[in-house]
Amino acid sequence: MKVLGLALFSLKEYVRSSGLLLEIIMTAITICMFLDHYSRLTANDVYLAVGFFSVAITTLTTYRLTKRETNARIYMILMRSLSRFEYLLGKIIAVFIPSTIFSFVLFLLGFHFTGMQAQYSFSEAVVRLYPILMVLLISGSILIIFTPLVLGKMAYIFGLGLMCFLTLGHNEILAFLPPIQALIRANLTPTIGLNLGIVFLWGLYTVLFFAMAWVIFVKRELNYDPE
Amino acid sequence: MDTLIEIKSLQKHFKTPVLSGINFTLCEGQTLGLIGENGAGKTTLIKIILGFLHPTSGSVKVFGKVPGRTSRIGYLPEKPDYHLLFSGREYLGWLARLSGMSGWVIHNRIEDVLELVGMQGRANQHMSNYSKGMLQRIGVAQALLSDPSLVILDEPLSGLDPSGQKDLRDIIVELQKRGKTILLCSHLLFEVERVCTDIAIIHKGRIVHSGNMNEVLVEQNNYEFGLVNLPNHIYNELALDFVIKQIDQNNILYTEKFVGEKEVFLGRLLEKQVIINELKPVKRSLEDFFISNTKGK
Repeated sequence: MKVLGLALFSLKEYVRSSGLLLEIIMTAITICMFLDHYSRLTANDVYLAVGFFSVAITTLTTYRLTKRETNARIYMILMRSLSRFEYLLGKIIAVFIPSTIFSFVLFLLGFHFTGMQAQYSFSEAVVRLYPILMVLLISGSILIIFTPLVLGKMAYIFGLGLMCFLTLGHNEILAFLPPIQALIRANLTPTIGLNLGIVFLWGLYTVLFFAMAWVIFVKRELNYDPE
Repeated sequence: MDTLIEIKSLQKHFKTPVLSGINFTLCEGQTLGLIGENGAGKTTLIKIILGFLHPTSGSVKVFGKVPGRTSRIGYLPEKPDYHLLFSGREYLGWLARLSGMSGWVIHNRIEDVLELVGMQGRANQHMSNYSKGMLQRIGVAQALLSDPSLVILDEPLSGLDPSGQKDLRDIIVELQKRGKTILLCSHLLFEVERVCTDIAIIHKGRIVHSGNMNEVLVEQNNYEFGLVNLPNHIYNELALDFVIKQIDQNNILYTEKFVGEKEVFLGRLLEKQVIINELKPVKRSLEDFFISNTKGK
C-alpha cells in the first residue's frame, strides 16, 4: 500500500508540475506521424508502433518524474517512512501509470482507424497488449538505475544509449539478450516456445535490473550537504 | 530513564575526518542542544543517527537498533524542501498515508499537529504561498505526524523572525510538556539555553563538552550574594579575609578558596548581622561557555 501511495503521490505532484505536457505532445506527434497511413496499417504495425512508443514515453517520463526529487532535502522527508526498495518501486509504478495510459490511447486510435478491427475483437486485441505492458515495466526498471535519483543526470545519457541498444538488439548477443522489439513481436509470431522464452528472459532481466538499481540506491548515502 | 540514542567511538570520514571519537547518549525526556560552529559535524551526526549516512567505524544504536527507517523519530531537516504544489493539509495527508496511517487516524492526527503548530487556518493554501516561518511550521508538523517519541530538529529557528522564533520555541516547550525527547541542533545559543535541559558541544568533529545545562554553566566556587545594605566598613573587613567583589550596593560576588570556606563566610555575615536575601551559584551564559570551549582549540 505504501508503494502505491508513493506512486500516486509522485504522479499527482508530477501532473501538477508538468501538466504531462511533453507526454501529450509526444503522443500527438506520434499520432500525426501515422495520420496519413492509418488505412494501410495492419495489426502488427499498430502493436509495433505502440511498443516502440511505450519505450520512448517511459524514457521521457522516467527522467522527468525522478528529476522532481533530485534534491535530497525533499525526498529525505519521504524516506523516513519508506524503505529504499519501496521508494524505487513506487517511482517505477508512478512512471508506469501515465506511460500505460498514453500507450493505450495510441492503441485505441490504432484499433479504431486501422484494419486491426478486422483481425481481432477488441478484447482479444487488448489481451495481446501484454508484451507491451512488460516493455513498459522493463523500460522503467532499466532506466531507474540511470536516473538522477540513483546514478545522476549524466548517467541518463548512457541509459538512453542502452535503451536504444536493448530495443533494437544486436545479432551477436541475440541468444541471451533478445532485443525488446522481439518482446514486442512476441504476440505476433506463432512460435509459442520462443515467445515464452523471450518473455521469461525479459522478466528475469527486469528483476535483475531493478535489483541492481536497488543495491546501488541502498548503498548510496543521503548526504544533501557534501562535507 | 531509557536510552534512546547510544553512540560509541563513532568515526565518519569523507575525504577528511568529519567526526572522530564521538561518544554520546540521549535519554528519554531530555532536551539536548547540540551546538557547534559551521562544519563542526552536527548535521553529519544527525544524518548518521537517522541512518542517511553510514559510520566509518564505531557503533550507533537508536532505540537499541542500528539506525534505519522508523516512525519513532520525527525529523525536521535544516533548510527543508517540500513538494510546494500541495497544500499543507494535503501534504501532511500524503505523508501520513505513506507512514502507514489510515482513515480517521490520519484526519485526527493532521488536525492535532496543525493545531500544535498554529497552522489550522492556512493549511488549505498551496505551500508555494507560504512564508519561511509557515514552511518551518509545516516542517515541524510533518516531524510530529507519527507521534514520535524522539524529535530531531536541525536548525529549526534559523531564518525566522523574532516572533517566529518565539512561536517555535513555544512549540518546543509544548513538546517537552508532552514528554517528547528532543535533539535540537542550533546556532542560536540563547534559544538553546532557554529550552534545553542538556547540551553537547561539538567542535571539529569531537564532542568537547556535554552534560546537564545547569551543571555545565555553573561556575565552580563562585557565588553571588544578594544582601540588604552591606555597609562599606563591613565589606572592607570581609575583603581582607575572603575573595569578594562588589557588584553593586546590594550584591557581591564571592569565590570560595577551599571547601568549607563558604560556610565560614556565611557565619561572618550573620555575625555582622548582614541580612542575606539570596545566595546563588554564578552561572555563565551558554555563549561564554561555548566560546571558552571552542575558541583557539
